[in-house]
Order: sequence, then C-alpha cells, then structure tokens
Amino acid sequence: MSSPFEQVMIGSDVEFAQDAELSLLETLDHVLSRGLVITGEITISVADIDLIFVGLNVLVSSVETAHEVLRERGRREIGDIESGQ
Amino acid sequence: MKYYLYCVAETISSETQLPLGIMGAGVRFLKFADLTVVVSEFDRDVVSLNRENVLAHEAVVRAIFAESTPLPFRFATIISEAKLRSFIESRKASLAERLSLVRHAAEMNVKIIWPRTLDKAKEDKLTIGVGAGAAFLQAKRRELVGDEELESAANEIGGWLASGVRSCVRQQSLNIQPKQKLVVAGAFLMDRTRESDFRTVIGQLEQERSELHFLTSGPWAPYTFANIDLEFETQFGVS
Repeated sequence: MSSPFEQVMIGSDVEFAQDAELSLLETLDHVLSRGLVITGEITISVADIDLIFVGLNVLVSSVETAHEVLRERGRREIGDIESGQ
Repeated sequence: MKYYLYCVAETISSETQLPLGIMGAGVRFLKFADLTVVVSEFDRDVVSLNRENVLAHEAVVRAIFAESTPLPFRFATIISEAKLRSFIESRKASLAERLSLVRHAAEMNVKIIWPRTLDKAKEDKLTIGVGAGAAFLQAKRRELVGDEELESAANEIGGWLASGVRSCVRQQSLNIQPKQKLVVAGAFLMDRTRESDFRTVIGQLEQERSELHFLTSGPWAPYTFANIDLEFETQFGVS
C-alpha cells in the first residue's frame, strides 16, 4: 500500500498549492485534529506558549488561561461552601 | 513514568521495524492482554508543535499501520503509566470493538472544492436606485435565499459523493460546509484491498462533474474513526 505523502491527487487546474504542501496539511489535519483522545492529556507548545487541547473539537486555551479559570472556579466553590449554598 | 502515546493496536510482532519517535525518543510496545500500546518514554509535560514532531508521530503510526490497523492517538497525548493502565482497563471492550471495526481497513479522504462565488456585480446592479432600507431588505432576502440554495447544492454534492463510493466503503464521515470553498470533506473507511477500486470510482466522479475540484489523500491509519467515546462533557461540563 502506498504512502499518502505520494498519493495526494490534485485536480488538474488547482494551482494554488503544491503537492508537498498539501501532503503536510493533510498530515497536520489528521495528526492534530483527529485520533483517539484521552481528554485532558494533550498539551502542546507553539512558539513557546503552552496550549491545552481539550475534547474532540480542538478547543484550545493557553495553559495560563486554563489555570486562571480553574482557580476562579475553585474560589467560587469555596465561596459557595462558606456561604452554605 | 510518563509515556507519549502513538497508537493502540491488536497484537503486533516485536520484529516490527520502528522509526525514532517524538524528539528522537525510542519507541516501544506496552502489552495489555490482547492490546498493544505503542509509546515512547517521555519526561516532559508538553510537546512542541513543529513539523519534525508531527511527522515523527505519523511515521510511527505508519510503521504500525504497515503491519496492522491501529487506532492512532491524537498528537501530544502524554500520560502516566497508571492513567494509561486505567484508560485501557476501563475502555477495553470499546477499544476491542473499534479495533475490530477497522481491522484490515484504511482511511481515504476526499475533499471537494467548488467554484461557487457571489456575483457581486449583479448584486450592485440590483441595489442601485433603491433606498437604504429597501436595499438592506433586498440584501437580506438574497442572503436567505442564497443560503438555502447553497446548502441544498452542497448537500447534493455530499450525497452524490457518498452514494458514488458506497460500494467501496465500510463507514464514512462527511463534513459539509455550504459557505466554504472547500464544500465537502469526506473520510472513508474501507478495506485495504479496495483502495484501487476507490480511486477508480473517485476518478469517474471527477469526470462526471468537471466543475468540482477533488483532493484525494490516503491511505491513512483510521484517524477519523479512532474515537471510542466522548469524555469531554463529563470532565468539563461543556460539549
């Protein structure tokens, strides 16, 4: 069975992309947005910024933002407990 | 100890030739009864998103795919051994079922680009000589009618593609986006022996509708058909 890197077929008059670029885009599409997910286990770094991938629809947040959301949620829950709610 | 995960497969021969993994790490197999998880030992929490790492991930999956049909993990899945063991234990039946579905199969992808564009000149002509309110209403009406027409035409293309390849595929996933140039993105799970038939059918469809541009890629490991359940909602309260 041949490799997909050699098998991207382009309609004859599509001129805006080269085969190699399309192959890389296809690879990115598969590897980054599909595949078996164990939620919450994916963190990637892009240009030195850590990003969290959550769920199947590639919801991306910076780690800093995610931590802030969790801290805020924690503060709310503590507040609820203290106010007896 | 943490592991970077590439894929899970039914039993794989220990003789399988594997490339180096993420960031040059060695790749090894972890056996869990009838399942084998392909991993690299990894001492970091984060993976850099760059060309080398993405290609390394795909190269390992592809090496396994040459021998068996694995369920690939999404890029950058890093997990402790205890969590991995717990995941496999709790999802054993679902994983086995999904592996059985993809056994001897491969994924092919077809994207269709269509030439539909808004006829701006015609629109401008229609709005000349009417007041701002009427022009707004005309534009709104055109938008609504246009949306319906686009959606109907896009669905027709999706249905035509699905029907054309039906005899070759086991399962399919179609994403139709009427407002995009890339109007249909289809992933098709098919028996590996049907690749040539599939390409022939796609060639025939291309000839049938020469106004459409086809981008076909594959065979891939079944990335689109790998997921077994959605934990998102239970863990994060949203979907």
